Amino acid sequence: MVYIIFIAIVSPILALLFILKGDSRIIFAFTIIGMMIALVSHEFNSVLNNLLSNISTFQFTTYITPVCEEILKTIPIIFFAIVISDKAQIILPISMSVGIGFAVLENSYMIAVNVSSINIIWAIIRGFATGLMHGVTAEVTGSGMIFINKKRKLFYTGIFGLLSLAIMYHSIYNMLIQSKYQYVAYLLPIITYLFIIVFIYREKINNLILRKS
Amino acid sequence: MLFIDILVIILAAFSFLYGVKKSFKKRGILFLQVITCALGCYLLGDIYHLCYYISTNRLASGFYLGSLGWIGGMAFLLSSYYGAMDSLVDDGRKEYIKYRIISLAAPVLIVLMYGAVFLGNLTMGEKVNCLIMMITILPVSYFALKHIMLPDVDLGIVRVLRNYNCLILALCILENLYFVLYSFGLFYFFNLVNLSMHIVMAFAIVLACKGVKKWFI
Repeated sequence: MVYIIFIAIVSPILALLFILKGDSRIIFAFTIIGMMIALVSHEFNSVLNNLLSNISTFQFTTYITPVCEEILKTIPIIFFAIVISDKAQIILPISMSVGIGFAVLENSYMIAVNVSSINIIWAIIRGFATGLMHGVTAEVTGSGMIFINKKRKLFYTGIFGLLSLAIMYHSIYNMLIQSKYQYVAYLLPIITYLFIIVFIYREKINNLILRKS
Repeated sequence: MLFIDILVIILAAFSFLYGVKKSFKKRGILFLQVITCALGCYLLGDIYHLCYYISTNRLASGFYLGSLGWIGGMAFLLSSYYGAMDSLVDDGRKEYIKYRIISLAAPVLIVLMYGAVFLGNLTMGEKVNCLIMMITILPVSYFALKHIMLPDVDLGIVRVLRNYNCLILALCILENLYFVLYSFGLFYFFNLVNLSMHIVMAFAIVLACKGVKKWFI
């Protein structure tokens, strides 16, 4: 099933890749790579689930899945930073693309599996929450790649810390979504995303407030 | 239990947000940004601990992903020393060799404290968990002590951060003391130590920001 969904989504984007140029092409290419990572992660998780059959679903999704998925999502970003470019202007958008691509395939699979029990509210909440969660965690690890060539010492030690942050964030989300505090889990990535947006545009916001006052 | 957890999260959030406000601005200092990331790691670890408690109604024990908060925090602190600061204050000259040797006292103390953890009433999984965390503390304690003792370089960047380094050394010792108390089941004391660690962190980021400000005076 997941392979059919993957082919159906990727084919039109692949056709688009040949028309696009520059950064847009790279961003779309990495969205596809994000989906491929989701596919690999799906297989990887299935194998691990069979191997660790004595642990519960709760334990598996809070301990194993976040570690596996976050490490896999980091691989294409590291590759890009080493081989192509480590500039922040391109590393940060492609990191987000990998995360969003991952979330697109994961959500599509979830829709296909639970098609009879979901509605538009589910789609909106799941779309924003899971999409942003994967995007934010990939962005966090991607921010460390800026130093991969410039400050190697900082990169080697820092990347472990950034991966820890991403894994914990992912794990908290997975843990809360299975508890009675589901709504907190849905709000968590949305609030984090808004925090990042406000942070990025803080100077423009400050100027706007000053102009109004 | 829940009260201390919430208090600890408030302290960690204050430290993190203070760091974000002071360091993540245009032309922000990388050293401060890495320390802020360390505080973010501690904050997320604390939130994880609380979420685990309210989702499962039991305390996490052994190795759990919340431990990455402390491990990642120490990785960032190591990054701030090894990746950003150490090459500025220690250019590898021979006169500094005595400081480098004396600084080994801090990791030795940490290892000795782990001996007490090993003798405590923990399961093997918990002992391994403490060992992993202790290993991440070792290099940070070494750099913190070294930066306290090193003579100042021309720009005066060591002197202004001495108080900060003292607090980071205290943080390393307190974190290890936490494991010792935990291993002997002294729950009230280790919660107190956890609270003290977060107070130390809050003061550390304030002192680091003030110290770095003096670099430009």
